[in-house]
Amino acid sequence: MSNKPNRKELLNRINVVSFAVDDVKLFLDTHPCDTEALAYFHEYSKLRNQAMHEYAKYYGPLTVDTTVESCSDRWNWINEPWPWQEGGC
Amino acid sequence: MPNYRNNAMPYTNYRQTQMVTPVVRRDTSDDMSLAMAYVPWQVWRNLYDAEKGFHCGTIFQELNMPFLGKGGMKR
Repeated sequence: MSNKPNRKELLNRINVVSFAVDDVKLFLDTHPCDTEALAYFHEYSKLRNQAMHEYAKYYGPLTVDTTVESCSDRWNWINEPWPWQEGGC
Repeated sequence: MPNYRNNAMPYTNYRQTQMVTPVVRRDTSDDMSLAMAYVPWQVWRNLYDAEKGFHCGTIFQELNMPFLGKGGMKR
């Protein structure tokens, strides 16, 4: 079991890769056939999914898409601090 | 389409331009109609790494144009 990643670092990681995905998404809107941009998108989109699922596994889901990680027996969604609460994401 | 980004007259030396007589510019080719605004087509190049891009607000170095204060100079 890899050791538990630090919450702040993992969240920062998610922000960084999510931003890259958003920026390349905008570029692809106007350059749909750009192969380099597409490769970049797939690479960072994969990184983002991994980070999101990892965060969900340790600290609870950020989005409903990653609830599969930690809400199998109980709806843990409500356990984690809400974004506006102290320690929230 | 050629990139017109660099040959725009920088607005910084506004005072000097008042004395300089206007220069006739030849940068509009025939297929570009008059009185139209043109945005150069962006090319996928010169990326920041994801971390730096996140801090600069863009992953493209060319689009990293922080506001430089009054008159376009660093204050």
